[in-house]
Amino acid sequence: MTVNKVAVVGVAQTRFARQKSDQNFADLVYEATTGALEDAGMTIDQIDNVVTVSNDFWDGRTISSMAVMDACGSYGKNISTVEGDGTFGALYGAMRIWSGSFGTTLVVAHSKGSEGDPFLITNSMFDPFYHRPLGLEAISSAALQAQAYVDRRGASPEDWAHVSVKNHQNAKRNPYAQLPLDLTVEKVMSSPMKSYPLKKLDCSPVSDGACAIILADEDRIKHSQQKPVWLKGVGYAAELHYLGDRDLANPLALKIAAQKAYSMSGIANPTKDLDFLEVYDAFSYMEPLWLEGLGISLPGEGGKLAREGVSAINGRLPVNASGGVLSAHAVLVAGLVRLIEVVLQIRKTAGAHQLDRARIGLAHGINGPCGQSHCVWILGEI
Amino acid sequence: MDDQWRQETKPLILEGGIHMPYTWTVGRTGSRFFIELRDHRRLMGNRCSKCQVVWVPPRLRCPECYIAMGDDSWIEVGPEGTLRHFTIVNYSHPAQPMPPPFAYGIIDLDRAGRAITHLIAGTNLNNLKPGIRLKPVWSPNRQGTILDIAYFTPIGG
Repeated sequence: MTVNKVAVVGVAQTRFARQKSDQNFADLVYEATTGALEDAGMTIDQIDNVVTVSNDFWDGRTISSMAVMDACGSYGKNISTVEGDGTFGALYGAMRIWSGSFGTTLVVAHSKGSEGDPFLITNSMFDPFYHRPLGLEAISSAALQAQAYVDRRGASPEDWAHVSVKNHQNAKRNPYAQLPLDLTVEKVMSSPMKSYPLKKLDCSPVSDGACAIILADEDRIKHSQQKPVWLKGVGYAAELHYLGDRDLANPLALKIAAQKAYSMSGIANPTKDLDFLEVYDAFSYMEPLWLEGLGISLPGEGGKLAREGVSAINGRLPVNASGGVLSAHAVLVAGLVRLIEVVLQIRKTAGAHQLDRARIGLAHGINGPCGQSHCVWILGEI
Repeated sequence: MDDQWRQETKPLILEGGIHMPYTWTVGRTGSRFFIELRDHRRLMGNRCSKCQVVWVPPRLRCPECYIAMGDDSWIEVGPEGTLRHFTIVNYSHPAQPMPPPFAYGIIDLDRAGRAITHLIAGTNLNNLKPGIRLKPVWSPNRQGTILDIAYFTPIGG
């Protein structure tokens, strides 16, 4: 398949915090939008269309895109919304360019976890008949997946503690991260048990924040002052919703998504061909489990990467050098932040967490309980 | 952004909430499942004629093969089963049906090809482990919902 080349030419993210009480979500979107325009060296009239990423339950209103349509500069333009992770917002935005309908797309994601009740909101992601009445929500359903990973693959909570230590340490180099922490494996292991086997420091925080990217085709990148970072491949897939329908230790949808993304971008051996990854570690165990799904590790061996330092910021294959989702988790925004972090690394403007080798990177987002659906992006400097 | 008015204005917080009642139709397939629970304390699944997987709860179509489930596809499963995975919840929130600590289990009901998720209680949770046998504890006041099974508990305590 030949498609128009599309690049990321502008990015911005707010600082993430437990509660940004000085900004409502339109204020956050305004900050992200103007930041991305400034980063691209573009003006709003050079944006052909806007894709917003938001969730009505988190915002507490329906058609939540309409609450931010002025803040994202969509006056007089087409605006459409993805109610899902920001990586899928980027997918929709890129498809609007690949289709030939638009030359540039602004994708902007916002979320304020502080304003609603995360337990009640994530309980509401489950079907009302079979799962929701049980009281399941994000943490307890993830705990079932974490335990499945132990039962099926012999995964070790100590390995996950290494992930938590690594990512919170990386966050100390990232001014946008919410939870820069000096931790030890012992500190993580002795943090309060939330839902066995997940402890407090295995879980990502509640966060407020927003981010935005600007995508452009080959003709339109010349309007940007910024070095383009190319979308080289993308893959996406979903699996069944009911937890019992799935083998939770075998991320089937991620395997499918990864293979599509590798095939499109000509990656034969992801471990060798990728320089670094940013994956959706909403919980510590997810990083190794997703690395297995991405074909970076063999099943059951994902935990080795953090434990042996391979995925460290100075390791052979750095994972979540930004601090990852464990260090800032604005829901829906966090996947698009993974993509932004890959862009910053490839541009060599990541600052204190800049990697030496960052020519081609992978960004990953999830949607639905226990990673029901996945989106995998490959980005490169050429 | 250092204008004086910005520094002097303390942002206000608006407290509110949304209470939004629904009347969700369960559909005939789901209704038959819940009526069997309520009236006969029976758990029902249905078997795909192509892949032979028995799905619980029952489906209109096999989720994997996308083949319509026939009238003869229904079979009784459980009510006993085997614990596949579990978690013990230590925090509380208003949507939980019982106070913590309690457990959730992914449970393979006998004769079913896919598992269900439900509560586990009425036992020392520290003794839970994959592979133990479980039975349902029926609610005395069954209404045709998933909580007509109050929870599952280990056979033999």
